[in-house]
Amino acid sequence: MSAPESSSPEERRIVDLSMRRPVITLFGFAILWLIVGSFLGLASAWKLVQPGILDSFPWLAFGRLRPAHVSAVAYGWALPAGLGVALWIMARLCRTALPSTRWLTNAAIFWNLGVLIGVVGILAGHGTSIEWLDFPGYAAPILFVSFVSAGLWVAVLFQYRKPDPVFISEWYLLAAILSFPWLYAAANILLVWSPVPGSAHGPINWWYGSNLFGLWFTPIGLGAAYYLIPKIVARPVFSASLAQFGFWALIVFYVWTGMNHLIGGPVPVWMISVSVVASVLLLVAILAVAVTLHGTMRGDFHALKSSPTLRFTVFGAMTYTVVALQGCLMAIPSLNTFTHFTDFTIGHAHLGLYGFFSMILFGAIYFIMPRLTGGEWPSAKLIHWHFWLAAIGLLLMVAALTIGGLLQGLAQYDPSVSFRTSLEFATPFRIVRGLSGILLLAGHLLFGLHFFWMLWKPRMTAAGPTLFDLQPTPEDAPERNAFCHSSLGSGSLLVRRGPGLLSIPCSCWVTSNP
Amino acid sequence: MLGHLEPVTDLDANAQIPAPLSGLAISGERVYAANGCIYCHTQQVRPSPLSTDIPKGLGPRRTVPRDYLRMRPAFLGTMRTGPDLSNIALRQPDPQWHHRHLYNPRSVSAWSVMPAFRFLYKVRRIQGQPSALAIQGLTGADAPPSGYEVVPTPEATA
Repeated sequence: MSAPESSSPEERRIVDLSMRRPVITLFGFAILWLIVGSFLGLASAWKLVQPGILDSFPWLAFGRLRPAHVSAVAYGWALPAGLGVALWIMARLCRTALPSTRWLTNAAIFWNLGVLIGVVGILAGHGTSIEWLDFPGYAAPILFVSFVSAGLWVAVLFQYRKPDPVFISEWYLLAAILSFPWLYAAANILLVWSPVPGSAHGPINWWYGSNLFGLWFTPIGLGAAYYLIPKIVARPVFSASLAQFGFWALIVFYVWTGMNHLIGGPVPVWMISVSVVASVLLLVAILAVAVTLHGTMRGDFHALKSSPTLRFTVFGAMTYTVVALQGCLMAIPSLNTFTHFTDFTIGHAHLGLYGFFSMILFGAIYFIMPRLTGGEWPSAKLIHWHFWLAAIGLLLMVAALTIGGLLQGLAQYDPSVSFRTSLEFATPFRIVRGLSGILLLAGHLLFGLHFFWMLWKPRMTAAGPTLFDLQPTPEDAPERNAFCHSSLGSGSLLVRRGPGLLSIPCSCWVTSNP
Repeated sequence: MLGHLEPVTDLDANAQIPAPLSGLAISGERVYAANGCIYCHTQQVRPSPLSTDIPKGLGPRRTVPRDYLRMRPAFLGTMRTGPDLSNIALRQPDPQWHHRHLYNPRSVSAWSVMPAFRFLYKVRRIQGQPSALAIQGLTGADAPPSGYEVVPTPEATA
C-alpha cells in the first residue's frame, strides 16, 4: 500500500521545485503554439468556405496552412505539453528530484526551435506532404535530438525511483517515452531521408500516424487520467488487474493498426486485414480502461461541479471511450466505405487529439501549475469559460464534421451523384466547423491569458485552491496523506479486493492512490 | 515484398514499366508536395464494391503498387474535398484547361473551393510575339490588361 502518497509534504516540495523550470518552460511554449495552431486551423477551415480570401499569398495557401496547423498543434502543443505532464507525474510518483534540470530545460527550448523551423518551413513550401510528418527533413533531426534529450529524464527518474510499487501511470508514461523516438526516427528515415519506393510509403505513413496516437498521445493521456482522477476523488484505482490488462492490450494491439487508412488502396490486402482485426481487438483495451476509470469515479461525480481539473480530465477520459470505439468502427471496411476520404476522419482526429488528449492536458496543467508556482490560479471564472468554450466548441465541430462527412461519403459512393453534389453536402457543415473553431480559439486565448497571468501574479491565499464553487473537495487543499486508508473501506467489492491483489508476489500494480 | 518491387522491362517494346519520370514530372511532384495537394486530392482508384471509383470513371482498373513505383513519396491522399487525380491527364488532357483552372479554379467551375494558384504564374508585358505558353481565354477580373499576358512559371508547367 506504500503508494507515493506516503511522501511527505517536504519531499513533494523538493520534487516540485526541481521540476519547476523545465515543466513551466514546456507548458508556456506549448500554450503559445496552441494559440498559433488555432489561428492556422481557423484560417484553413475558413479557406474551405471562402477560397477566394487572401489567395495571392503562397504562404497562406490552404495546402500549406492545413499541415502547418496540424504540425503546430501536434508537435508544438500536444507533444511537449504531454512531455511536461509526464515529467512531473513521473517525478512525483518516483519521489525523485533531479539534481540539475538545465539540460532538460535547454532541450525543451531546442524542441520549440525545431517546431518553429518546421512550421515556417511548411508555410514556405518545404513541407513533405506526408501526413503527420509534414516537417521538412531539416527540422525533424532537431525534434528527434531534443525529444531524446528531454524524454531521457523520464527514464532517469524511473531508474532512481524510491522503492514503491510501480503505479499504472508509470507504465503508460514509460511506454510513451520509449515509443516516440522509435516511431519518429523509423518513419522519418524511411519516408523523408531515404524514402522507400512507391506505395510502401502508405503503410509506413499510417503505421506512424496511427501509433503516434496509440503509443504517444493515448498512453500519456491515460497515464495522466489514472493519476489525476484517483488523486482528486481520493480513492484507489477501481481494479488494478483490469488497469494492467488494459495497458498490455493497448500496447499489444495498437501497434498493428493504421492500415485501415488504406482500405482499397495499392497495398497488400493482408496488411489491411491485420489492422482491421487489431482495431477490433482494441475494444478489449478500451473497455478495460473505461470500466476502470468509471469505477474509480463512481459515487464521486458530484465533484465534477467544483474541481476544474476533474471536470477537464473526466471529459477527456469519457471522450477517449467514444473516440476509440469510433476508431474501431471506422476500421470495419463496410463502414469505412462511407467515412474514407471525407470530413468524418477530420472529426475523428479532433475528437481524439482535442476531446480526449488536450482536455486531459488542460486538466493536468490546472492541477500541476499551482504546485509548481506555489500559488493558485487567479480566476475561477476564466477556467469556467475555458471549459465551456472548449467543450461546446469541440462538440459542435465534431458533430458538424461527422454529419457532413457522412453525407459527403454517401454522395461519393453513389455513382449517380456528381462530385459537385458531394462537396455541396459538406459545405454548410464546414461553415459550422469554422464557427466552432472561433469558440476553441477564444477558449485558448483565455487559457493563455490565465496561464501567463498566473506566472506573473499567482493568487496567494490560504483559502485553498481555485474551484468552481466553494464546496470543499479533496482537490489538493493540503494534500491528503490519509486517503489511502479511508478509501479501503469505501464502496465496491473490487475495491475491497485491492489489498488481496497486492499480496500476490511480484505484483507491481497497486490499487492505491498515486 | 512491397519494398522490393522493381520496374520491369517490356522486351517487345524495349520500355520500362512504369516509365522513368521526366525531369519535369519530378519538379511537378515537388510542387504537388509543397502546396499540400494531398490534403484534398487522392491518387488511388479503389476496387468495387469497397468503392464506386471505377463506375464513377476515375480509371479503368484499380491502382496497384507498381503504379507508384517511381513516386517519392506516393501521393495516395486521404481526402476527397477535390476529385481524385490519378492519371488526370487521361480524363482532362487539355493543358490550357489545367492552366486556366490552376490560375483561377472558379473560372472553370464556379462551385469549386480549390485555392487559386496565381502565384505560380506571372503577368508580364507582351514583348514582340505573344508567348505560345500564355493562358488563353481568361475573362473578367482574371484577364490581363491589354498588352499583357499571363504566363506559367516553370513550377506551374511542372
